[in-house]
Amino acid sequence: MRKGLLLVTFLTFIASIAFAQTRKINGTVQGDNGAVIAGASITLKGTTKGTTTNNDGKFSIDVPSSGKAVLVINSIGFGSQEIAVSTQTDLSIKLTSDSKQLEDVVVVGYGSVRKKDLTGAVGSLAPRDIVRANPANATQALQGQVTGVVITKTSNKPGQGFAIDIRGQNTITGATEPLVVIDGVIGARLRDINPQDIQSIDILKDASSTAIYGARGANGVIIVTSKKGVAGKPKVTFDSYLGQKQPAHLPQLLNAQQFYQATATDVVLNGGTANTFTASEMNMINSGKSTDWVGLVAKPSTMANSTVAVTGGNAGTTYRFSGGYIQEDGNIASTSFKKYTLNAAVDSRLNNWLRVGITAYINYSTNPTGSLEILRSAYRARPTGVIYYNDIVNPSEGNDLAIGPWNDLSIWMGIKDNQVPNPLIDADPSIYQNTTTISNPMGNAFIELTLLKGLTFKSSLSASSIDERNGEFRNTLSKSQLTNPPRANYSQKNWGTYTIDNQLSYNLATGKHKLSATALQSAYKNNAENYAIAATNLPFGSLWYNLGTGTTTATSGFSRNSLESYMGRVNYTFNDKYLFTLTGRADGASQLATENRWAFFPSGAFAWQAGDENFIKNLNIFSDLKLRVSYGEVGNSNVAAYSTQAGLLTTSYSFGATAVSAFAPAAIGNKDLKWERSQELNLGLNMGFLDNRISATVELYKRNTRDLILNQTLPTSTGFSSVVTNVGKVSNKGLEIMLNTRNIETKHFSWNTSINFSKNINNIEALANGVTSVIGSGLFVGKPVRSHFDYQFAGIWQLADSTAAKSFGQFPGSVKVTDTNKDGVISNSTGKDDRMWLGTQLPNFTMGMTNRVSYKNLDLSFLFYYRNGTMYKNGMLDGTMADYTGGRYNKIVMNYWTKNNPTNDFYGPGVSQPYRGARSYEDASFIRLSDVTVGYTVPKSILDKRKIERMRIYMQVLNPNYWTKYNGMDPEYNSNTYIDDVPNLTYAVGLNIGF
Amino acid sequence: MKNNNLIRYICSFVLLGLVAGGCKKTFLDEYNPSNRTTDNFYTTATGYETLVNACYPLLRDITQQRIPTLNGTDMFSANGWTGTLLFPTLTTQSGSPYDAYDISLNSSLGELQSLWDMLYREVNRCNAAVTRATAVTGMVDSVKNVRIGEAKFLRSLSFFWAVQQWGDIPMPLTETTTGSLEVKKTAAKDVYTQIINDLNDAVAKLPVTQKDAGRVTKGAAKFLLARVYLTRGWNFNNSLGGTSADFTSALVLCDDLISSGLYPMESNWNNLWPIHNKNPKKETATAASSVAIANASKEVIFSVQYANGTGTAYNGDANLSTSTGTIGNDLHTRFSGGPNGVAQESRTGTYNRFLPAHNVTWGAYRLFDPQMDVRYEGTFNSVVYATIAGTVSLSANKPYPQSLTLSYAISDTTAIVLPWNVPMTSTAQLGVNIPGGTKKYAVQNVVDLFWLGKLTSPTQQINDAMSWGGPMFWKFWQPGIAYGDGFSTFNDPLFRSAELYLMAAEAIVKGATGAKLGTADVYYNRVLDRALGTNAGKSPKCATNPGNVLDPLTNVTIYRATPSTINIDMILDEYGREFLGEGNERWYQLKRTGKLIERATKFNGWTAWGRAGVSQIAAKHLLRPIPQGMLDNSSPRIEQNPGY
Repeated sequence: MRKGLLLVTFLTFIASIAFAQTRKINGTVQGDNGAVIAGASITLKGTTKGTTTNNDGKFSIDVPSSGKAVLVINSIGFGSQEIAVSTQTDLSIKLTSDSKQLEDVVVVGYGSVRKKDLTGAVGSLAPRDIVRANPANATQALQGQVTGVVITKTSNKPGQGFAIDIRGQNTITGATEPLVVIDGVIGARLRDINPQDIQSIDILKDASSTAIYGARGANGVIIVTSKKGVAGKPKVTFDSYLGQKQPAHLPQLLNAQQFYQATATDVVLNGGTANTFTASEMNMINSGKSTDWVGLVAKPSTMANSTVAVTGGNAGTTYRFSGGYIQEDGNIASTSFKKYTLNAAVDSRLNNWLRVGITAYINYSTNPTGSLEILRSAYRARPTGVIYYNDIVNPSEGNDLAIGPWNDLSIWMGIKDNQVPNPLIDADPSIYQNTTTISNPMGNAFIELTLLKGLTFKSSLSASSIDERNGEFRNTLSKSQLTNPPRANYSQKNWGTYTIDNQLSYNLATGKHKLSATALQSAYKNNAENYAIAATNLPFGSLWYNLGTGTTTATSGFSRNSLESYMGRVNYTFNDKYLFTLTGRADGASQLATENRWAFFPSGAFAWQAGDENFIKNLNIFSDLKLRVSYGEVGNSNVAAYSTQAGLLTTSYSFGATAVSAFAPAAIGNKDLKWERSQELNLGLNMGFLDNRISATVELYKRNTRDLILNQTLPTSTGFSSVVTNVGKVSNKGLEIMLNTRNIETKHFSWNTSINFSKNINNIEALANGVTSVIGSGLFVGKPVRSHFDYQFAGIWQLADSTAAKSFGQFPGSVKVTDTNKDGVISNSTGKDDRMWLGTQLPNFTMGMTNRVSYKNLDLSFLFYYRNGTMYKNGMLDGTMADYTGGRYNKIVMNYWTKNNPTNDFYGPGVSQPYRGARSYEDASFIRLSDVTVGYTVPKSILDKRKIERMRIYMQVLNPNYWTKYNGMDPEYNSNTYIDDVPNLTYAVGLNIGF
Repeated sequence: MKNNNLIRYICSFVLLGLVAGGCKKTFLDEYNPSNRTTDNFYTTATGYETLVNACYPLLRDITQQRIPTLNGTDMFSANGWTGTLLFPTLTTQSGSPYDAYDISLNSSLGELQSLWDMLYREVNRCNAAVTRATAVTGMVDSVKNVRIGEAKFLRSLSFFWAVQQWGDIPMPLTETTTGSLEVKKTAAKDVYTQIINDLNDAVAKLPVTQKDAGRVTKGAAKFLLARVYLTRGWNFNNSLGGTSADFTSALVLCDDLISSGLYPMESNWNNLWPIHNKNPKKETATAASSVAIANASKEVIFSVQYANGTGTAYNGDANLSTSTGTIGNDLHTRFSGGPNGVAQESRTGTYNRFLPAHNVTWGAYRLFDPQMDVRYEGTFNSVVYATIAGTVSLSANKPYPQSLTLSYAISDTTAIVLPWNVPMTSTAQLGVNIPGGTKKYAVQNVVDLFWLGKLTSPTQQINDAMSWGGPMFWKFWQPGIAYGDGFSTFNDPLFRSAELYLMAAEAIVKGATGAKLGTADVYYNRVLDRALGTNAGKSPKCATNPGNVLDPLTNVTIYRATPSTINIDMILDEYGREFLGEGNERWYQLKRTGKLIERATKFNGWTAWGRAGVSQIAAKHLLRPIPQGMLDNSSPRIEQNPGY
């Protein structure tokens, strides 16, 4: 073949000399947006002859006057195009932009297919969706934008993670998080990639799609493809934004006067004993002053990102390098997340049978989180306390005389209590520091050989080494140390993983038949190592950098697990209309019982491109119609290493002064542990109407999981509290609808809407050994996992109910709970249990809606997100933040009961509350306007003079508002303020520029 | 061209070779260098020794769960019972669940769950030690038998505590190696049979002395056996299978241990406790020297070891979620009374940390003769000294507002409490806390402690910068230790020989025959006379109705025993005086003797008050509710005890 090519070139060369008869062709090159493209290269195929377009996108080139000539047109950011020229002399060439081209391709794991050829359920996100709301963590970008994916934040702290659930809860124990693959690095973390570097995110949802990843894909797979080099002149892009984060949407706390009313006046009114106050507190109360501790510790802060990228290359080799910086400061003092990323990707076709490539990421992040206690202390500290020592009326009444002042601050704030010291002290970096730094080099290298036409062999190695260090320092006067000498911890954790994949692929296309087959062998190993040193009695504030000066204790540990897999996949397409996929994968997991290690997971899918059938075309209804069905099995071995072994627990004792080693059985080793298996049926429908101005994707699925791996709670009379075991069956049924509409599309004005809806019904079908409920694990046959089972809040006992209340041992103002079995006694004992199933933390459904409007050079987009039906046992209500039974701590404002306010909303202070906890269950449904962005693209006419290719500036508001009935900080997750930050609202301005 | 192909095929071959090489057979074998397993470690002599060692540390966790064993008795309540309880208008007030015995005493109480969890965790470890012994290689049988004896003793101790709390209980006798939700209860009488069999076996296997201090000995096993027989003899609810012969069995064991001479009583009762100065600023003992005598006392037959105070000594099981997680004994922090807060260091160990979970009832103070019985001063400290220089303004004083500013130097007295039987008689004795008082410190007596007649409304602010809650319970204080929940190096004495005399007396009163020392009063007075010290032989007096604070002070009773006066109540009073706060025993003593309801109602104001002024304690409370976790995690769900 090569010989042939050489011959042709040679002959062409001879011919061009011999005849040298040419003719001139003129042309214009435009992008798909209609703008002319300057600097596009035009080459005559098979020759070195070429030219480039001028600033008006025009070119002219000589071609042989006889015979067919083929022009190859290339431009950065656009797909390559070949045009056969016969007799034309004037050409108008339109190039399709790369991003659009890539959008039409879906990455499916060990390969990619045209969207048109997809047989499974896959959701995709393009760059504009990923960076739209400028997430510091790419995970955030998935929220509200992809069907079947529920993203929940776990904290307001900067740099903290998100929980990702794809299609409900299949497993219960261990991570329910999906597998993340970044450029072939399997098991990577989404937080470790700069969102600006991402070309596409593809979410594999159904069993047929994830089958290729076998066990590791049991909770779904998220495939991240980074931006790659594009052949052409070097092209530079610069993306940056800067924003200010304001504390916002805070629950209101009692002020000093309300606090007095709630803990003294109204307590007495209700028949209880008034809280006591010091003279200093009474001074605050009587003079109308109040201290807003939350306001004092939560301040506006900054978020920023800058990413520079260079791409380029020639026909054989392309490259992309990028460097990025992301900063997200917390609103709580001294808390921040800073991440530095470097990315390099080189792909080179060395000759017609050998291709090699490497992608490398280096990330470094630093995440000081400050004291774990600051926010909780600020919510607990009484509003009657004073900030400065000199403002205390009578320091002898409390403990202030004993310690303080420090930097003029009062320690005990003039309050006669010594549980919560002044939160401003813990907030000071000289008193408390806690910093996590993570460095994570990861990368993937491959070599691909073309053995025969259509047959390739690819071997790739991906590796990642996450190195996480945490230092924590607590000085004297920090809440936990107070008068004790400083203490510090320093710990390091390392996860080193590698995956080797060897892949043999064969492609064949003849006539109406297209066949592609893939065989894969894969080996994965993960080593986790850790050590920690804790030191007490440090002589000075050396942070965690001089632990040897104190009394130290050290711990260390190791764990390893490995997975070995063999897989095969066949795709067959007939006539581009009938598409078949068959996949089989065998996995062996080290952490399961020896005889149960190996399992085989088959799957198959079929799609029918019905829209291409004439009888559908003739209906003139659908511009696109495709039906898909898939069925497959996947497994999950997501348990800790050594779960089948009964390890030892290190404890110690001393006989007299002699310390001795003491090793107790640590856990029950489950020697029967086996794979959790799921079967999933997926029905999919793609529809397009009105030339695809309306397009919809509908997915219906049912997944049955058996041999559920559960960390099952045990009756403690066994000596243990839990065992990792296979129990029962759970099912997930769901409906996902994605609707895209191009509402208005004119030359200057366009408006697109994208709406998605996801509903998942989770149900426990059976538990092991015929058990119908394990209350301690929250498992009930016929109910979803993550259920709440408790007494039901039934309002407040009113004065008129005194007699009835008394029969339950209750008083007016107490929380009333439902006497479910109507036996006149509230009990949780066997046979007369009044507790009932209340709800689940799993949402009923979620919805997202994105609107994009553009008018000339202006663009506007905004996203609404709605979550319905999640129930939390509200950590704020359940903790001290709404504990109206006591007067020790401040509380959020609640409409509480008094003899003069007979509400059923919240119980009365001063009245005993044995069932206070029942009030804590709340519906955490919410609608959030997630972000609004307004952008302006500078016209090309202005940019061209400055050799700028593209420039856009924008303004953005993040989290402007949400609507909920939930009492607390943020309904999205259940916070009790411990180790947390306040909710925020962010204003940002940004710039995208390309040269 | 050919070369190219060759290279291509060589490359493929090499890569495929790597694939084949990657699939080693051992690839999926688990590699676990950081831990050993029960199956490969406990078969060695070293491993087995560490397993038996691991049966001890949970004793620390278990014995620190004092709320279910001390509160709700005649001697202790969670809250002090001064103040608000005197106002019947406070209908919503109630004491802690353990004191009130009301609806809040139910299966969801964390302390009961913790105690249960720890006891069964301990049982499982002991079971492992008992069942794995035969497979151990390289260990001589004589040593192995001693270790089995230790494990059987510790298992019996755990079952004994559990059966007293809950009655019919699960009684696993083999190590748990697979998880099961099914739980079977064993009848209390069968649990007693098992305990007695195990203890008899332990007595046979254990040596008289052990090389290691704090290991179980033959004497400890006999002591526990005596207590078990005594308890079975009372035969709670006729459910224990006890007979009157059990009292004689108990007596024989007590006499045997007394006459062995191995466990002589200390001549000075105070030698049993850490040395401590009433004024901590004048303390001369160090942390180590303060406990040297007490930890070496021969009177102690078995104690929980804390003497090694270094960082490696976890407080029992650091991995237990219910564990306090701190290091060392916490006895010194858990009882009523710190200083009055005037001119005091904050959050330091000077006056020991006070986290009073067990407040002494007023009745308990009035059981002691403050003048004659060394145990009054040995148990209570009635004076507070300033530990820092400070100024106190009394402007906010209520209910006696007076405007005064006082300055204190270190070691100045800031408050005293008068003995209960010597009230203030003249205004010259008044402290600064009362208008017209001349003493530069607070002086409090019965009247002050209860604000008798001084408060007219529950809303009245009691915000007196000087006043004091009552004498400090300081028996277990150890000077020089760090501020915190634990850190004491005082070995917690679970069994000491003084109790043998009182157990013997109890057995004789219940009809045991063949006593070696004489009648019950002889045994009783041995304990009393040691406590009277130089007053030995004299007749100390306690309040006739200790729990009734309104009773005239002249209403007192001699508590020296005579053959005609000795009875169970006197013996229980003496257990109270001698062992106040020790050994996690009070609730069990009262339950055993059938006196819990009567005495708790008489002494403990919160029990008398019950709920809304109606006493709630009833016969059902003699068995605790099975913890909720057991009900919720067992399947089929196990039965709750009746009445809950």
